[in-house]
Amino acid sequence: MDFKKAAILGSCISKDYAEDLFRLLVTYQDISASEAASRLNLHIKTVQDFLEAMASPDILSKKEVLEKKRPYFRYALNTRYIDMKIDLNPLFNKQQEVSKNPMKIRERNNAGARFSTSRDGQYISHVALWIGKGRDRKERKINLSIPQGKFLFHLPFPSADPLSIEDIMKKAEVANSNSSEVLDIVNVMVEYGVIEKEVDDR
Amino acid sequence: MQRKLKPPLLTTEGIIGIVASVVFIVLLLLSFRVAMAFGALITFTAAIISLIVLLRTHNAHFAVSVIGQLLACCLLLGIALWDINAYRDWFIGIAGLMVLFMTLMVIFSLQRKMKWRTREMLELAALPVNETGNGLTTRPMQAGRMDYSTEELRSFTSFIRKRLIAIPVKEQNRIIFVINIPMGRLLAFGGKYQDRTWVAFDYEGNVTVNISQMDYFMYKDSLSFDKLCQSLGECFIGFMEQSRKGEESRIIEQLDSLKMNIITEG
Repeated sequence: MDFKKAAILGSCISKDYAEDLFRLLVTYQDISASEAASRLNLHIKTVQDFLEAMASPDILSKKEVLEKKRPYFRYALNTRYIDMKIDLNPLFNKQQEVSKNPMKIRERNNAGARFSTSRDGQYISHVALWIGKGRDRKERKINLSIPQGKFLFHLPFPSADPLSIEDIMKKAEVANSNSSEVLDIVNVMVEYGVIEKEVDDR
Repeated sequence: MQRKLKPPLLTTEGIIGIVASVVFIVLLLLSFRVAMAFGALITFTAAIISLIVLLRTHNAHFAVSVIGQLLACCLLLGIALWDINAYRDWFIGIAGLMVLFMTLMVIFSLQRKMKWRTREMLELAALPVNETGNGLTTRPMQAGRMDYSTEELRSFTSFIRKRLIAIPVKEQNRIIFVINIPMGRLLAFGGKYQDRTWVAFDYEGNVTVNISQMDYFMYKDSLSFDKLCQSLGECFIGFMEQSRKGEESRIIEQLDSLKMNIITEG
């Protein structure tokens, strides 16, 4: 199951009336949205949305019937179990190896970010950024994990030569196992213009 | 030698001093005794400030300043309240002592023993930096690592404090040397330093540097910020090395060689 389907399913199942609706679906051979809504004293749109959502991952089957030329759907339960498996493998494939990343980075001049150091002064604990313009300008604070904080602590200054992510990680003594979270914060900082990057063509 | 720092600006303390002197002169023209009382108040305030500086820095030369200023306060108060001729011997005795302590104070000042070294440190850090390019950031920089014992760090801290190079702030895992501490925070025994220029030595040997925006703008040119931080860190690492070898007088020689003005660049 992909994330979108899992999100719809999870959202429906978390409703207060979900168990009551399933009980009705078990009791009735098939049931329409209006019948279920009147039985549970719910709005018909609420029930219709729920049943439609359950029909899309084939938990329910729906059959179109006609009543005086007016079509409507009747829903029947297809299964006795709802199995929710989410495949996280595609996310793993998106991660890059730090050593293969040709990007060289440093802090951007006048980045407008405020870095706060940890109590022991050995890493950055959070970064405060200003997002938006004019009256809509808001401060966004990003709390960092310790490896991310150590990495940003050793990020080259705007006037210094840019370094590769791997070199900065070595300097900051950040383990390779933390490379994904380091890359994540680098991407965020690049997005907000705090870090500038140069791609090494060699 | 071409200075990299801009000429010094008039500080708040300087402005207060000038205003107090002008008020004293005006009062002198209006009423001699009121002027003397005002002078006593000013010298008493100066003595309190010197006492706090003595307590914060452990620089014994400020004790001379405290005594001299208290004697001046007594003398001025005596003139304001009593008849000079009735207590002539007392006044001569106090005045004599005051002149002695004030002379000592002037001698110590000329010997730079009571001189704050803020501008010397900033100038010294900028000496090897010729590249420009701004790059100001609020992040501190790790300037290096060195091996030292806690005892050596303690001894170095005492030296730096006594010689008015920086004010140390002790934290759980490190000692921070605040180079340009404002007089208000010094007098209030405040430990806030994050927005100032500082160099920190932790107990694992890491040396971290931070240069504040205010101090960075004291330079004539936009010097390369990373080089400047590195240089300031190296200055302190060098000082620590010299301190460990017992060559502390060389540090002072190095600072004195910059020949900063005692009065305007204090």
